Amino acid sequence: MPKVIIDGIETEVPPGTTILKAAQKLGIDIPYFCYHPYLKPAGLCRMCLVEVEKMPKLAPACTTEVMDGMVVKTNTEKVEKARKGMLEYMLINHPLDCPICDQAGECDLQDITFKYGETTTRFIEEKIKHPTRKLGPLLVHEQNRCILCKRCVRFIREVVGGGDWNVYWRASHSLIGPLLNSVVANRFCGDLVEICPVGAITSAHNRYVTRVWKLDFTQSVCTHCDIGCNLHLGARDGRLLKVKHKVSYPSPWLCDRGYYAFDFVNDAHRITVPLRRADNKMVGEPWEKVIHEVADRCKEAGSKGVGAIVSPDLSCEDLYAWRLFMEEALGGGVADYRVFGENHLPQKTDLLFLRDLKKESAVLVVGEDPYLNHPVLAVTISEAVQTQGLSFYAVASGMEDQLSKQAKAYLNCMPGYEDVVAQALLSAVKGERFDSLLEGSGVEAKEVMELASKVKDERPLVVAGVYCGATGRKALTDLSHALDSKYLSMERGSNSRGAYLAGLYNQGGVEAILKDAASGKLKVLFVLGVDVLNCYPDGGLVREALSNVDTLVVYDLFFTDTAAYSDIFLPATTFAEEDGVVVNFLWDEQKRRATLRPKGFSKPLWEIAAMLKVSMKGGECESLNELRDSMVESGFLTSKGSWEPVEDSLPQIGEEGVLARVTASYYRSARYATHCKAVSSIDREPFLAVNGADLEVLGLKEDGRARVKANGASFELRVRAMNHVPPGSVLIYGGFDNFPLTSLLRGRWETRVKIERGEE
Amino acid sequence: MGEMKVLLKNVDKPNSHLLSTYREGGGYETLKAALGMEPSQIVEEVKKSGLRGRGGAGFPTGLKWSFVPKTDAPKYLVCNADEGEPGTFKDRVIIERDPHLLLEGIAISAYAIGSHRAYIYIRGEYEFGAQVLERAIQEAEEAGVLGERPFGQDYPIFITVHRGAGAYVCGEETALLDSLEGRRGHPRIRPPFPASKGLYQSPTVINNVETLSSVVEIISRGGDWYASLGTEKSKGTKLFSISGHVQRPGVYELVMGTPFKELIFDIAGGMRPGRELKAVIPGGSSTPMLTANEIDILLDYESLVQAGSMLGSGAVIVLDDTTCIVKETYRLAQFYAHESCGQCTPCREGTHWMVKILERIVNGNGREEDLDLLLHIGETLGGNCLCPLGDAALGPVISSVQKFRDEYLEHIKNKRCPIGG
Repeated sequence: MPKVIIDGIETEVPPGTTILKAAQKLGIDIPYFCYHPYLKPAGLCRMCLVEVEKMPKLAPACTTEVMDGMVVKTNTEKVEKARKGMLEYMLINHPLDCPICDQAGECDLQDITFKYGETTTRFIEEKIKHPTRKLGPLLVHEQNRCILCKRCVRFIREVVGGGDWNVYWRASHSLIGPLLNSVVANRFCGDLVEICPVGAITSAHNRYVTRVWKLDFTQSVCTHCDIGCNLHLGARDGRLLKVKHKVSYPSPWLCDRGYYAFDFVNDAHRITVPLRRADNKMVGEPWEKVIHEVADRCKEAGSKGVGAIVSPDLSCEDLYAWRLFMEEALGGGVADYRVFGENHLPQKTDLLFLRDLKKESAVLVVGEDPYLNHPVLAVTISEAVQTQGLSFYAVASGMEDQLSKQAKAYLNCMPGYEDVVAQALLSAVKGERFDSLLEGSGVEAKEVMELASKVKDERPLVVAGVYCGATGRKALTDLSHALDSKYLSMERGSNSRGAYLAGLYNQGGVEAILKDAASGKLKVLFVLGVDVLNCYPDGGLVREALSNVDTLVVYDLFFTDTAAYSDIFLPATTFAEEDGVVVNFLWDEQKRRATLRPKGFSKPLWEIAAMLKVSMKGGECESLNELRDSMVESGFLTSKGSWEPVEDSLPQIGEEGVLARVTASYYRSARYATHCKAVSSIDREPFLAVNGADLEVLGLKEDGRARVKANGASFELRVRAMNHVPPGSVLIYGGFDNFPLTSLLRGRWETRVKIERGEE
Repeated sequence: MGEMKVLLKNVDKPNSHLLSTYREGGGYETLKAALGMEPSQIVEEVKKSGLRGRGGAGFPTGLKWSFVPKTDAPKYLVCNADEGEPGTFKDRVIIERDPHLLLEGIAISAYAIGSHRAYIYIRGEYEFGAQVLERAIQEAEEAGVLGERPFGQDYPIFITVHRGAGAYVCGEETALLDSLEGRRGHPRIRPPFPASKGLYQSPTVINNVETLSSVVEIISRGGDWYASLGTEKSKGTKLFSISGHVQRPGVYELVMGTPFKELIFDIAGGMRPGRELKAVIPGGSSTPMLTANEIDILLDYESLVQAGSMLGSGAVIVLDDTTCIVKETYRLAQFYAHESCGQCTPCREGTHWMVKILERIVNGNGREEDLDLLLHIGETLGGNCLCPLGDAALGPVISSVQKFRDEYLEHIKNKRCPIGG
């Protein structure tokens, strides 16, 4: 290993290490702007110039690799002079609007000028000025503040893919931005804000809201999907004001749901007192009274008469406390967390870190569009494709171009046929016949054969997406075993693995609970932390269940469509208001720390469960620490799932009409998206996505309206031509409260619909 | 010493751009012979000749070629015809009047480094030159001297002309490669050097038009012959494009080591009647100015370095006593501020700042401390940039402030130009 002496300290570093990294290892500070630990070095800002013996000029530390016997000096007069000069240059056209700049306090330019710069400038000319512009609803571009480090350009090019963002004009008039239009068409706008070392790219969402040094930051975990990105939540005066992604786990990048969809926590529409229905009105009541009433009704209903539908986004403590309540106080009852109508349970995974994905030579994703469902997974794949030539294969229905155009082979199957194609692929790899399987799937046997031969050669990491049912997951598990490759399965809900570990599932899933409630078998139904009416793919059944059950207890943040049926409403806390553990897609437990106090009289679920237990059985309310201790003792978090998904058949899709899948558009797939100001301003209404070639066949017009009917429900939607939709089918993008598209469905997310031209 | 026509021997012939004319004068015979030689032999011959890059930097050509790794990976030869430096127009004469000389030089050089594909990156403004070259390539391929089987040998050589889009910085070799690949012309970080990772991340040699054209005569008459011309360290002949206040501006081919004064006062016809020489920019606008007293030197690489300037691309700009040096410097500084690619901080901001200061002085709003400020900007800018453009921008500014300080002071004190420029 090469030896290098930096400022008189000798160290050994692996070959290929840059001077900057070697110096960081020694704790020697070298200032930089354009360098970013997760992007390729560019050597543009010239701030990191250092003196290297035997080199005539100063060398940029970020790009110069260490050689054996190199002597580097970072504290000489020459270096100091260069640093002062560079900072003076940086500030020539940089406005001194730090007093109102959102970046102030965490600005690299401020900090480095403070440490290394001069107090005065000799520049007396007029500065170049550019207008401030809005780049879509999420970003504001303060072009004057840009120091042209090109971090954002490199981020788009190396990580996200595509040349949508670049420099235009030249020299000191250079500007940065999207070339063709003024909207940023990717889901990593938040990362653009984060990597900008100055306040040039700022979040439109918390612009001029607070000074960053006034915020208290607490480490937490994102609540929008099971990737579980670590967040730093910044709060002030009881409000959550900013999210930062300081810990690069599981990925250095954070998608816009995590970065922008957090302000539901502060929403004024939150219900913060327990409510009880009296004379068809919801009336605020004290907790004791409400708890007693719930406990009484549970006692009346008996252990067989109580059911619970729990959200897979609640923390492990909540879920474990709920199980204890059901087991110990109720002595039974049914509960399930699979509120999206899944028929499988979480599976084991071979991956230890998400970054290990980059060590693979190939990845096969089946049954989801990672760019829509798990953008951080998508960006990891796309980064590996861009920089390491990873081969990416996909089998999915209606995958957006962003990722599908990077795929070496992409089978765009009909919605709901992912499982079938997965089985066919397994058969093809094993050399068995599979022709009969593929009927109606929109995929030809030849394509599957080709994919199978590539898969056999390259042994890709197999990723089972959220649209894979139990049969598909079984086939993919077998496939990965047959290929001796790695396996990763994705789930809906940020803590579905925790709910699985808490044992909150039973035969028949949520469907069985709903049916029992509808038939009157259940007297008390708890719906905990989930708007099941907009979330379970059978709106009719849910409505029937909610209205037929004697007592409906809803625990939520807002008065949702489900809560409208409730007899008792319990105010919930958000992910930012309670301590709790969640289990991410790699089966890692991560801790959410409370940033805020619970708003109003809202309480975390574990506390409610404990209160109910006390009310029914007597005794003392246990504290969170006691709960945790018993959770650890019970061996709760030691299991890591099994290879076997549960075999449960999904209902058949009907025969007549156009095959349709209901899904949520990206920004609407955030939890409580309606109550998040930034993301709710992006997609304003549900729409019907039709392949351009099918428009004429269906008698529809781009941007016109269509009436969609199925299972007795009917909606009028705007039509959009989108060529990623598999020909012959349609996708309905929803995810809106008060717009229960689930009424179209019967137990699964695909259905056959009748489409008519709507009124213009 | 004096004029000698080696590169320019054909340009005055009628129809000099045609293949037939070129072949009558023995053209392409050298390529035919070269294809029978060992590539290493050609490299040796060029090394022996002492040929140095004619684009401005003066790097030994043979040495540059020997950096190319001897592997089977594809290699590229790129001819830099992006003649963008103000005052330079020497390559244009070869391109337009003797294109086959350049093509032959490229073919021999490509064979020497083991490349089958060569690109001529020609500046966008040379539209006619690009047409001439394309016609010449077609002619040569049809005649079987280039293309799939040149002279029946199993060594395909394809030459492609690529027109630039008008950015000065694309004359810098790595920016040129970026532009050639279809991207924004931004200089790359070195290392890796183009010799190991250049065009499409493959080994690439980039040479100037004049350099590649010189190769023909070196191979045909031998490296020793070429080395016998010129001075100790500067061999052969060199094209000089002289412009400005001389009676006969134009392109002249001189043996290295010809006295500077002979070029200006004899070959180029001297000053206009009644005018006196004030300053000379000896090697393109980026080289430091020389005053009238400093030009009693020889035209070769070392002598000019000794005099505090550079031979550069051999673009001599002559300024007589009607020129306002401040305004001249301002114009040149504007050029560099406009052409800076904007990637690295010192060049982007420094060039802009210098223009702003010079603008004030020209407009009569200068301050005495501005002169020291200009010199100080130069200290931060010089040597700290990603590519040589920043240093190039300094040449005229620093030298003029140092050598013509009185003229600047007159502008500042009187708030007007003493010459009326």
